[in-house]
This record gives sequence, C-alpha cells and structure tokens, in this order.
Amino acid sequence: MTTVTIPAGPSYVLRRANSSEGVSPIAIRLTSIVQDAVARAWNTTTGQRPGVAALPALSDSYREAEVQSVHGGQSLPVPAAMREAAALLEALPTWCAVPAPMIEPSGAIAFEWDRGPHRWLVFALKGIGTIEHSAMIGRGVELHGTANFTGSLGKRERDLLRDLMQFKG
Amino acid sequence: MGPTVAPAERITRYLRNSGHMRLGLQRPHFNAYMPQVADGDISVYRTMDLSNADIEVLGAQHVGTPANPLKGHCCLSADAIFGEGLNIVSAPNPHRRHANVTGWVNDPKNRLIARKLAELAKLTVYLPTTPTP
Repeated sequence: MTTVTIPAGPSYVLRRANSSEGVSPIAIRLTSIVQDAVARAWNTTTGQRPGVAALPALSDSYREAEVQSVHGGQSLPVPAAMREAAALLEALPTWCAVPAPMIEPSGAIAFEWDRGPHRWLVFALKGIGTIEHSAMIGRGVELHGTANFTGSLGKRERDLLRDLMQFKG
Repeated sequence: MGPTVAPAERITRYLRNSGHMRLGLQRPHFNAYMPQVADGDISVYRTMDLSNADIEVLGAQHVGTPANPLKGHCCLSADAIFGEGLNIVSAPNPHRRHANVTGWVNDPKNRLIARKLAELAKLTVYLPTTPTP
C-alpha cells in the first residue's frame, strides 16, 4: 500500500484554500467546497488516501485558473464540478497513486496519472453528473468514454486505474 | 502569407499558464492544446521563418499583456495537427500570422489528441521579467 504523508497537515491546506477569499462570492463558495472536502477526508482517514494528498495542488490549480479567467481563455469550474471532484477524491482507492489535479480551459476538473508517453489516465468532471476518462494503457491502446457519476467509482473507472497501476509494458 | 496553411509550416501556441508546461520533459502539458469550448477552436500563430526571439516578440505584442504576461510558447508542424484530423484556418486578426485550430468535437478523445500534440511540441520557456521600479 502506498502511504502518503503531508508534512504540514490540514491547517496548511485550509490556509491555502482560504487565501483567495475576498476575490468574489463564487470564489469563496468554491474554496469552501474544497475546505469541506479537506476536512471530510482528513476526518475519515489518516492522510493515507491519495485524494487527500491531491487537495493542495487542486487548490493551486484553481487559483491559477481564477487568475487566467479574468483575462479570457479559461473558464472556472462550476460548484457542482467542485463537489464532484471532492467526491472523486474521497472515492479513490488507497492503492492508487496520487493524481495531479488541474482545471482544464473549459472549467472541467481533471485528475491525471502520468506514467509515461503510453501509460496515462485522466478522469474529468464537469458538474453534470458524468465522469469522462481518457487514457493510454500501453502503446496504441487508446481509451476514452463517459459514464454517469454519482460520487463513487464505477467498475470501468476502477479497472482503468488498476490497469494503469499494474501495467508493466 | 497566404490563407492556406501548408503542412510544413511551424505552428506556435502561446502559453499563459505555468500549469500548461512540463518543464522536466521540455514539452507542454496537454492542457495547452485543449480548447476552452469542447467543440471550439484554439488560437495559434503561423511562425515559419521567424526566430525564437521573433516569436517571443510577436507574442508579447499581440497575445500577452503587462497584467498577464506570457510564460512561454510551444511549436510543432502543421502536419502534426492535420494528422489528428484537425484543420488550421487563417484568421488574420489581430495579426496576419494568427490562425485557429478547428475541428475539435465535444468528446473525451480531445485529451488524447491534445496529448499527442503536446508530445510532439517543443517548449520554450520565457525568463520572468523584473518589474521596473
């Protein structure tokens, strides 16, 4: 089992999430969703879930997207997408590696596992009750699709994660 | 510069977001090539016959702003873009070299396409400028 350690603890994460307060009401609301996810995840685990370790980077990605959205070319996630992202992070199995979170130009929240040119996976959430996957699991094995998302990982998504983590090619 | 983009032309995408760079790999992240609207376009410049320094100046004059300076740019051949089933349409505003990459569809396959483009692209990172006192 992979063990993730966050040296500074939850207060560090919450401080980062709080520092964009005052920008706009929607920003405050979104950061509160991140805070809730951090608190929930921290209360239900001991920091070993990969989703917990991804939260500071998600907060950073949101902040950069917020800056870029002022200048155009970048949309911000809708609150429903933030809630879906928090649910996905909580639902990630302990055996999977920590994903790299990012805000796509469309405002979709994406989580990426990048293990090389032919071995990567992205889950993306748009706040519309679906989860998109885009992946390459081995040379020439391209996979993509959309499934319903209600807060837990479906068999397809679990299989993709397992295939990626176990792939030796 | 004609309206038709030739396969051999170099196509440049300017980068504002440091998260769109994979510094260790010397290439952009796939997000650099993702459209803001899933079936929309991405803005690029046709930079054949320009030096890297010229490309940086072009971006500073027509894409970046003092409030939101560019972080870098990435280049690849038009042929690589055509090879993914996309098109490059000249859109000479704000500059005669400006164009749009069209043909995206609303599908998670976009990430596969964007990732392929990113893996073929060459990244140039700009040095941060020090504000003048």
